[in-house]
Amino acid sequence: MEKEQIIEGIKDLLDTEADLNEGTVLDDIEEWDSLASISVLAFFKQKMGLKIEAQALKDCKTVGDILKLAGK
Amino acid sequence: MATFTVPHIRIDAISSSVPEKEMRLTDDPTLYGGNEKQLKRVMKSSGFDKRRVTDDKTTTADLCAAAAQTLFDAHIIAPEEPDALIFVSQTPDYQIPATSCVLQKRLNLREDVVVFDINHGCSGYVYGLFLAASLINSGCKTVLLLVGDTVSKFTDMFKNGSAPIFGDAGTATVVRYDENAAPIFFDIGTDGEGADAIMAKNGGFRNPPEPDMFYEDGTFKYDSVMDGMRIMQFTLDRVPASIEKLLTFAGKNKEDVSSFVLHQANKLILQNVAMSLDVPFEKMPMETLSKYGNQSSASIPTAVCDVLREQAEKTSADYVFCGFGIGLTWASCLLNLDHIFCPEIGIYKGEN
Repeated sequence: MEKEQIIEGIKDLLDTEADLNEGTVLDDIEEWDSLASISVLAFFKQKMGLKIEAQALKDCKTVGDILKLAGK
Repeated sequence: MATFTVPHIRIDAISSSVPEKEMRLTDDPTLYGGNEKQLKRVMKSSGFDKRRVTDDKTTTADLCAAAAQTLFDAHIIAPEEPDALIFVSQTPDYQIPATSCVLQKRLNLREDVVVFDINHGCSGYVYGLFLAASLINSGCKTVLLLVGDTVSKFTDMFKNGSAPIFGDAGTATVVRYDENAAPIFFDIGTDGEGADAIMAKNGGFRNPPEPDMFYEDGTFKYDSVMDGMRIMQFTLDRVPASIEKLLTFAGKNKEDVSSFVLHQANKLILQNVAMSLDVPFEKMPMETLSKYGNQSSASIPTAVCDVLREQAEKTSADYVFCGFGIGLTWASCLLNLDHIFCPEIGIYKGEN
């Protein structure tokens, strides 16, 4: 899965109008909360077969950091 | 450590009682600051929709007593039979004495009975089973385990929007000695560093009630906290690991387990735990939380009565129960339910 598709996937999960890019700070996204982050974990597992640690996701500051977790 | 094998334990019955009043998340237009989109997103991903809440007068003890009465009425257990009564709850009737003392009289139990309260929430049911099983290994023949919570009474959790998801319930479980019963396996643990991740700070003896601890409408400011991110992280770190450890300890495979009945925390968390364990969603009930909310300590027995009734009554099968949350604590067990009595969830309409 390409970077753009992952960003689009995260945008869908959050159901946000915000324009997301690699530099977007997660805390600046109104919809970013614990439910959103657990949705992201589920997304990686279901769509990409990737098992991301909750702590690693918690350490992410930006959308780009999440992409790095997915090896992008 | 913290894994245990307790032999000769038979569960004979599980019953659950919920209050009559049903609420839906959409009933409260002020939820999430009136942000409808946020509410829809929470409902979709968390699975929460309906829940049952008590009126001002009804307490956890009332719901538990009703659940116990169902078992007395069905002659599954007689009031004079229990050698011990355990009441697990974080919403007792009084500051003191223990609610179990009040329940001894109310349920007409014998006087030569061991009674005590346990203060545990989400992991409380499995803790209760562990203590009941331990008492049986100390010589008790029958233990009546009453587990429940009325978290809706922590009203400021609803005011501050952190917890519009809790439902109330009381449950009763009969635990007996049986020479031929399979053992129950337990894995139990605590991470007290997370004690403040879910906390009602005011009203105990650390922060006793003060005149400024009241809202304008007269309700008490518990100063309740629920740190969703930390709880989620804790759950995903600890719960799959605890269940894996338990299975290894018990010498069982995931395929040997008919259902994994987890605390009904929220749908997303349960789905993630299932994926992490490679357990199919069908083997992990999640629908109870949509109908009854997150019932704290009562969620596991209520889920059994809600979706596994027939299976529990008509078959002999192995189950994993796992509670996790406030404390922060986790408690998992692997046990056999062999043709138990498991009535439909009772609706509590108040004392006659």
